[in-house]
Amino acid sequence: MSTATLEQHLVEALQRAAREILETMVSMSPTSVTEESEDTSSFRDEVIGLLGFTGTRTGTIVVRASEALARTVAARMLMMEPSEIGSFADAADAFGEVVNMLAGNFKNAWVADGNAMELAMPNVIHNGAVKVHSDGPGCVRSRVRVAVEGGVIDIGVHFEGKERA
Amino acid sequence: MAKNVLIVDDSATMRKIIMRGIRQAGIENADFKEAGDGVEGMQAVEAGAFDLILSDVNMPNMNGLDFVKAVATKLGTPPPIVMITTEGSEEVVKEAMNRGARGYLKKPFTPEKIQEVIGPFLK
Repeated sequence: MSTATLEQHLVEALQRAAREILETMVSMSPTSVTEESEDTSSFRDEVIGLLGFTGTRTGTIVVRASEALARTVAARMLMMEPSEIGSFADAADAFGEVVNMLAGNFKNAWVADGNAMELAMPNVIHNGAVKVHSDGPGCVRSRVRVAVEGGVIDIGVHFEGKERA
Repeated sequence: MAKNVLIVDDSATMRKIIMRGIRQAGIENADFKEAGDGVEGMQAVEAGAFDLILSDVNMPNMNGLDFVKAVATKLGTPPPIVMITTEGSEEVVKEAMNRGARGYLKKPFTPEKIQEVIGPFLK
């Protein structure tokens, strides 16, 4: 049985938010922002940004990128060269803020439909593996892929199976 | 005369972007102090006077909504507080205004939007 995906207008809201955030706050122009199939709930990437949420649904927003791209994102946000981003902590702070903005803008679309959502703080993992709970009946998984110069940023939205009253 | 502006946000990157955005908006008369959450923000408020406070909502230790309330309780007549956050839901905006915030700037933002929302408080 395939896992359900987000309603189309929520995917489109996430696509709009991704483009606006990258253009406005990161000074990056995406070459494409596409909906992709989110086939897994397990991830192993160089940089993984996570932000959990509760409310009408419980779940996690999972944002993945290469370390080089995460450093470029940080550098663009700080108007520096990627080589000037010293420790990974600086890149993680910037990447976490991108995750935070994506989650907040997704929340705005979600609550506009009459739902509730409380966001946790973003957490950025470097060269790690993550498993989120979006397998099984009632789960929802969707992904938006943003292509920019230097790579891609994958933005996944994962709802756990148990729907809350 | 320089205006003292307190920026309360748990992201150092975002604090830098806000400072840069204010300058890009043509507002040159601001002196900035930074705080990483509401607790640090309260320490700054107790230690000095500010003409404007800019605060995130989603922060560890003390979130922005509790910070706004704490500032109002502490100072009685607080300086203008503008929330800068991704959470643009009507519920959050209403709650922030109820607790004493005077304005609201949604992330992502442009220098033009900063000028529109923050500019009037720094004239």
